[in-house]
Amino acid sequence: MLASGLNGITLRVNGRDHELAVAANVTLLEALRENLGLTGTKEGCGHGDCGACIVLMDGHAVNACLVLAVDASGRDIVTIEGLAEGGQLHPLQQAFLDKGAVQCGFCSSGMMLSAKALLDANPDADAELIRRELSGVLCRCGTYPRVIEAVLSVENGINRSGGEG
Amino acid sequence: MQRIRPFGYHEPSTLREAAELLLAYRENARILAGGTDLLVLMRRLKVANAVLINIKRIPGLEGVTRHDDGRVEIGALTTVNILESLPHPGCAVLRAASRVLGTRSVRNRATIGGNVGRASPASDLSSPLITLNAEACVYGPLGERLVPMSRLFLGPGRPDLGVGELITGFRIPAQPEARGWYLKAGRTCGSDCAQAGVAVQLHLDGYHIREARVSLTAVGPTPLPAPQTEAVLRGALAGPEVFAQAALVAADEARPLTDFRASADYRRVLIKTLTVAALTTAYTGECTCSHQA
Repeated sequence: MLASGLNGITLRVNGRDHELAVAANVTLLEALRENLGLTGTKEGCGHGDCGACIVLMDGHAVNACLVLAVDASGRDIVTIEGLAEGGQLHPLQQAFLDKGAVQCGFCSSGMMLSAKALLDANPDADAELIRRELSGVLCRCGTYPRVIEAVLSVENGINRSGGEG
Repeated sequence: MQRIRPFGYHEPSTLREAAELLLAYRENARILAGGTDLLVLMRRLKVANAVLINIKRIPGLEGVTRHDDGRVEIGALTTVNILESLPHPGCAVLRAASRVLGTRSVRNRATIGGNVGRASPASDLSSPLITLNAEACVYGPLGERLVPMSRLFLGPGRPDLGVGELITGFRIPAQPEARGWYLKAGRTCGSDCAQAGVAVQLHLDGYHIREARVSLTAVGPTPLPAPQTEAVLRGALAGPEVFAQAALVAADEARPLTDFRASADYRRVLIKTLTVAALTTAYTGECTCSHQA
């Protein structure tokens, strides 16, 4: 702990290291949005129920509202801003666009990052498994069927519907 | 969104330091493991003057060890997602419970030590551990001791731990020829706590039930061992008749309350239904369907 009562941490976000000084009660979600300006991670319920704040930590989906920033120090964090590479949308992002799986967009980052973690571990996930693994992300617009469709279209890392929409 | 109020914070690097901090801060001390429950409580302002003791810098509290003789040891900081694929045939009951605890992102973070140590009557992992005759490994100022899971709980939120004591892991004895399962019902298939749950473990001798262990979730002040239900099953010929009989006794043995999740009456009905289903699945083999109850 630093003399100020703050904790010095290193957040590795989307491949870049950030040195921060944060109080112990600051969540990873707050550090991402307020210290780093990465507002693609959404602030929903704050209780781990809605999934809007899901990010990947060492490849696993976690609720950023339930992780203290001090606990994320040294871990590899991926937010929605880290999905696209070299100006190219990630196949999941393209599929969400193609299938119209985004309405208001509030759940989309949690949906896509949850789907990425699932497909990275299980490229052949069927609709049932996708439904189960994404059940921690709530969509108040009701885009679920299109989300499932979009994720199914990206299996094996290939956006099979690429460019159609 | 309500922010989490400032709190005292420590990261001990040894169990001894953790015990000293627990002794120093007494009732204000809270162990931070996965945080999926504690940080929600903190945000809801249900924990005042808290001093968080983050035990994740203490080495050796994570992971599953299987011994040659079939015993399994699970570190307190082992996350629930690891338990979902526990490679141990006798531990299906714990595997099943791990798969229906919360959501994916919660299971990636929540720990077995936190789920048990919180002493919630709705803990999904405590009833399975009770049916596995597991013991909690407890470290404290006076040294280490083992507490049978069936005697770990005094009441809601009250584990039987002394000042300065913390749970470091769990020991599960070998489970030869045992088959178990866990089923729960919730208001949704997603992240809600159980309205009721049933853990069963059958030790079989051919078609006969040599020994049975049953424990009930969210229908009493603590995870609830069900000795009368076990007595019905013990020595019986496995099958629908004795399973139905056991379910009636389990519904009677439950001590449910009415709350916003379910009425006491409904919880009894759930226990009856879940007991038959859990016993049937345990006996006939691990369910491959992904959804339960």
